[in-house]
Amino acid sequence: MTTRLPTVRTSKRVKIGAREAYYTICPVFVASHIAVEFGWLEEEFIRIGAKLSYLRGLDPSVGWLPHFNHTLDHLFRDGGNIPSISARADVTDTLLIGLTAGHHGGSILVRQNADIHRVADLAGKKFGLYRSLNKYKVDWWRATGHRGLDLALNLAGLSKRDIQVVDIETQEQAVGGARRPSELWSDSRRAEIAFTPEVKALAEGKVDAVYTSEGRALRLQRTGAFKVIEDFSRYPDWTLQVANSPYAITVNADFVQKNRDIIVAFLRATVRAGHWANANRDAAASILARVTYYPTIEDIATAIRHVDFVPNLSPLNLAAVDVQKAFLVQEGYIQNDFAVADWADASFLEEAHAMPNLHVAA
Amino acid sequence: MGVVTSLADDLKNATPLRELLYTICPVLVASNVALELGWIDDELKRVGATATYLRSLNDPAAWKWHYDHGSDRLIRDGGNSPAIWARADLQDTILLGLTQAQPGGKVIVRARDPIYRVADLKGRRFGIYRSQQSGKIDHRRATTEHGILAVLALHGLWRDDIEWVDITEGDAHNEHPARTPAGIWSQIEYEPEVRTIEARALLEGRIDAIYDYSIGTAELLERTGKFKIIDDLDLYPDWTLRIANAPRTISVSRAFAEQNRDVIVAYLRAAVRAGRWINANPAAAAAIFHRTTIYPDEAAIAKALRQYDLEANLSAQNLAGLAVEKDFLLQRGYIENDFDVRAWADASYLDEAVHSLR
Repeated sequence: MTTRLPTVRTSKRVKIGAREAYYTICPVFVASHIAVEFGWLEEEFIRIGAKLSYLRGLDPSVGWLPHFNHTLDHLFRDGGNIPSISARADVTDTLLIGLTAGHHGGSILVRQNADIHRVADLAGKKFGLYRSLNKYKVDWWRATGHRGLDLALNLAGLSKRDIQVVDIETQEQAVGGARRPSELWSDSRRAEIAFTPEVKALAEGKVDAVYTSEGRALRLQRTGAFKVIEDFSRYPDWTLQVANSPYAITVNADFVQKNRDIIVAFLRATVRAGHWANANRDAAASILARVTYYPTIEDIATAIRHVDFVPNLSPLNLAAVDVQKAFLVQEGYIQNDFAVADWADASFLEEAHAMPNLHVAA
Repeated sequence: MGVVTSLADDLKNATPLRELLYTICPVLVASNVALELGWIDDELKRVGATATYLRSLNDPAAWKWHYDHGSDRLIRDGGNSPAIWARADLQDTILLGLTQAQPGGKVIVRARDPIYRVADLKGRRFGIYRSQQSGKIDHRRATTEHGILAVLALHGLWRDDIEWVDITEGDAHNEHPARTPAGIWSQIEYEPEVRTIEARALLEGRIDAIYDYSIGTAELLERTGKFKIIDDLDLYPDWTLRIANAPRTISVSRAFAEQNRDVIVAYLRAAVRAGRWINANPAAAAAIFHRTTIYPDEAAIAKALRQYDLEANLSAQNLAGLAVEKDFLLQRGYIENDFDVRAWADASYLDEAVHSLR
């Protein structure tokens, strides 16, 4: 495998025991967050004599980058699929063991007072795209915005030639030092995440429009300064809802070989949390509010109404990963193509579903 | 069997006047549930009549009466285009009730094609069903044609902006006779994985888009990961966009109805009761409809049922909707003779059924 991303094997600097694993989860609507918050993940690990720690409990100098490029041994990652695809394509060998469909493809945002009411009105205007100056990770937020822009133009019958793309370059700050995801997301960080650099450029009049995610769009519109002129969730086309999603659960391939029970334990807790979230959506919203960045619990309850939280490897979710990967290949975000079908291994999920649930009686 | 008797002979030898033939389309109409719950048999028994399923008859031509109303003692509940065809060009019938319980159609393309809007289909190939069966109105083609024209118009396109590609089927209707409709539908063989011949043609690249008006089939196709829905008539506020083979019609042979009014009222009593039961119990009704329709997914049926009123009526809006479809069928040559939809309807039977239930 040709490695595109310059990598540092973080593992060399972190001593990890044979029955020890790390996990990291993006601030998105996935059941593993609930499995963590309820202690179900820890419970499953203790039961089989294994240990699980949060990646971002490590010092940011070693714990931040592996969230994006999987460069830590024994790592479980659940969340946005662009870093997962990038890691598998260009960095390290992983297995895809579960997927959760995203529910919303994102929005196109302009200033509230702009005389812009539809994407067609953006002809001749400036569109701000985030650009990370960090060379050690895939620029997943740019890629998400880039695809959102392409789709919006397609839906409006325009092309890139009709607008001017303005790169908003950014030095990213490493984060870490949290015992679990809910500690990482302080209220101030949660409020700040909507104001991405390209949104600030929009507010300052340097660009006329940007792409944003649903949770950010909700928060930004409530400031009164912005409005949404395109919302992909209004269309029935599922390929428009592919936006760093479906969310992927991945794990290092070499760890799997000797620790099958640990992989199944992780999924058992996640499947259990998924069933619970499907059955208790309002309660799930209040848990997920601690680990995501939507403005309110009510917003989350509305957003997750139709989410299936039980991870799967359905043909539709796998096809959606393939749609995302094809874009990343086509636009040069990843260098090496691979077959999604070869990456996915459903046997762990099947085993997690098959094992009797020890908690049913409780 | 030494003597071959025709159906007409059979009917003469029976107690003909009190024997009602019925036929029901595999769609969301209360008659299907009324039948499965035994309420049609019960109600007819109370007036000394019996109900016999059209396709239980051992007459190889009987199936055609479902379309042309070719029996003089037939009640029919289902898609409106055969009922309109029969009324316009063939038989004297009475319109007894209407049910609008049908989602709008969807435009489906291959998931990986760079097609994001109906406007992108300009110059491309749209599949349309064609039956090779000459003995009936091609209701599936008519429904598809009406839907495609509606969706094109929404995007500023017209008939000649796309290439129409016939997806042809023998449409033999050679199922074995069955006691009830569910016994006929259980004999239907579907295309593996994609269910319909139109979706097969799309998957194989013979066409670029299809229009699907089933319940649950579009979602089934999505779940393969190979198809996507780029438009859905339910997303628009205009209710006339959803008019095609629905509102469903309950129609009956006029002379029989006039001579056996109590039998028809009894049938409608069962249908009204069933309609109310479905409205109150959509999930339970979905299990019954899963047997009595050709829809693939019980959950999708339950979801659809929650949107609609399954109690038949002759509301002004439904009558206006029926006139929209009649005009379409006339304009496109599916029927030859115009008629007045309001004059076709006689609300007195349904009124009597509803009042007698109070």
